[in-house]
Amino acid sequence: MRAAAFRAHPDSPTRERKTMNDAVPQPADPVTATRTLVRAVSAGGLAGLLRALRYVTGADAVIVDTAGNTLASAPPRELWDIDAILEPSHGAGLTVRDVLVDGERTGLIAVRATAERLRGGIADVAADLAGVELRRLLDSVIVRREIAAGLLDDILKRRLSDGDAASRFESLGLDPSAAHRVLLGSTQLAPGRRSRLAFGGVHLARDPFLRITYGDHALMIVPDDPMTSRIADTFLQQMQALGRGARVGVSRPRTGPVNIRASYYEALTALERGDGVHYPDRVDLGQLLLISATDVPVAELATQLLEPLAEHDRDHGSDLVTTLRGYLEADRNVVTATAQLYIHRNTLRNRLQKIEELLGVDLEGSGEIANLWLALRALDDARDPGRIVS
Amino acid sequence: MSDATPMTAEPSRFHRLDLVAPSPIDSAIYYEWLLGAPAGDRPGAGLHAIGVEAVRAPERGEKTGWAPVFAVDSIDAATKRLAGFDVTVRVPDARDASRLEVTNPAGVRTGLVEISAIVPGEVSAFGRANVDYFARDLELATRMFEAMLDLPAAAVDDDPYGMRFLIGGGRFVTGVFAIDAAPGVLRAAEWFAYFEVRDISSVIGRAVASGSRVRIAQSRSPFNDFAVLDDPFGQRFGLSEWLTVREPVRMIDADGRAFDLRDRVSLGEAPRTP
Repeated sequence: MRAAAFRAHPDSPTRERKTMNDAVPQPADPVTATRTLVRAVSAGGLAGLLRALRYVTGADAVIVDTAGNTLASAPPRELWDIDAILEPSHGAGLTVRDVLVDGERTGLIAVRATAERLRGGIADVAADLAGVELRRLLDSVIVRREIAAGLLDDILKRRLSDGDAASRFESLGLDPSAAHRVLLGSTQLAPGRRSRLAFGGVHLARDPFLRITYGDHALMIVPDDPMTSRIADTFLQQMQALGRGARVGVSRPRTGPVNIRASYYEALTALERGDGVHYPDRVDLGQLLLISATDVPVAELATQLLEPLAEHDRDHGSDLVTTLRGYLEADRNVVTATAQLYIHRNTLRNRLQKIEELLGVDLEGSGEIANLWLALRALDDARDPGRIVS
Repeated sequence: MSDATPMTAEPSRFHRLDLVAPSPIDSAIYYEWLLGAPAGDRPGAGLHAIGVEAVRAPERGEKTGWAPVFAVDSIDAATKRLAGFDVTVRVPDARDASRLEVTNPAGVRTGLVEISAIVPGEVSAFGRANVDYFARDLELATRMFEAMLDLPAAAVDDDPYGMRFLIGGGRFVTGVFAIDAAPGVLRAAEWFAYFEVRDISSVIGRAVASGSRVRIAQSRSPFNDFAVLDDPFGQRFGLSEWLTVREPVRMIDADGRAFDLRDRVSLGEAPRTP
């Protein structure tokens, strides 16, 4: 067997060089260097920017996102110690700058050279250009997420038929007839920092699952498959990177677009259980009935059912609806209810008798109690779709 | 001088893959999901359909990671050809003399199997995956694989990447690469196994959403779009989307003769994962 003998290309990793910084000469003029970077990012994106940065500095460079994924590198096949880049100290011999998108730290750019060696603030220029390019790349992802948020809002507020919702989901690349789960994530964000949610979990490649920023939550719709828990764990890590108190609620699997609503509230219920990833304990039939009913005008029927109490309250300045709600929320415990309503037990007893009289019901009957409890929750749901579970 | 590499119906000498992982069941389930391999009656069964021989736990300090199994004419002859190289060889199963495991000083494994021992119809990884050996000493590694597989190496003409390819029967067998890496990031040598997918961007997105990390961003070689990731359990793997439309790649052999490699077409013959 003869030994292979190939010549090395000047740019090959096999070439001889004293240090990486000796690879190419540096242009002396910072203005020229900046123009070179601007032209490069326009023509070649992040990879082009780093190639040009390597040319003008003679140093290898990489851009990573805040989760530690490499977005581009020069040379492209270089393996970086990303954990060192993400650490505050960054490691010796590296110059690292934040890459900001809309003022949010979305990535980092690292150059294998000391700051003293990088003249004319070229690392800062590269970081700024990387931010602009990253924003451009993320635009399509952000727009898709905003469209999806509008769709979710329409579904939660029952403004869409099942068929319309299905076709709109399909236009976003989601097959609503396949079993899916809703993952709802939240974290404590400082005031004015809600926009951070929009950039969480964004990778340049693509949003593989539908991800939405809805209110104070980030939401994912994922296929029901063996990887749900791993995706939920990764989602939690993304939330943890954004702030404290990170938590993720996971719904049960369901099919059909209308059930996105049920899944959303179920995930919201699970979310209420605290930090970490949580799955629903048990099915709350009353709650699910309310949020999944599309044909029955539950809220209107509930309003009619409770109208005698509401009318009495309006005419006499009483608090019968509030009293009924407080009594049921206290699990019909008189001591607890009076303490929460700030009334005497005799007052409570009198009001309950009035409620029974006006509604023609017996508040000791299980069926009547369930009916009234459901009616109150239906009214809450109609007023604020998220209130009944929060 | 230029001529086209002859196309042959000969099976590739790149035969199969195996994975040694601390959590083999979790790893098998993960790769089946990520690569869209059909789930079988047990974790890992679906990976057989894309040429994965085994997913198993490490033995006695064994290094973890993906490793290839190459087909050779003779285990005895391969053992003799490796005599001058700093590797250890062992027969992994005393009852089966048709297999050999070659381990370099860094603990990187390479499997060999005699062609005569391959069961007809056994699913090959060729066309469903490809492998590259990354080494700090490219020339030494190239010579070792020439000896191990008894195949000639070739390089891409005017190659800026430090690439070598072992070619047998007009087909890719393995790549051998030099790589830049920060100290401690890459062992002295390492196998990268790339799985063929139809839409690499989509699969990278799924991988990232499920806990993998991108180590080498999606890039284009003369042959494919590729990316390298670490899976959630710390094992490195690659993804590849073979370029279906491109010019033949001009190669040079060790004697400096140029030829056009057209074998890329054969990689598209096998059913690919999503």
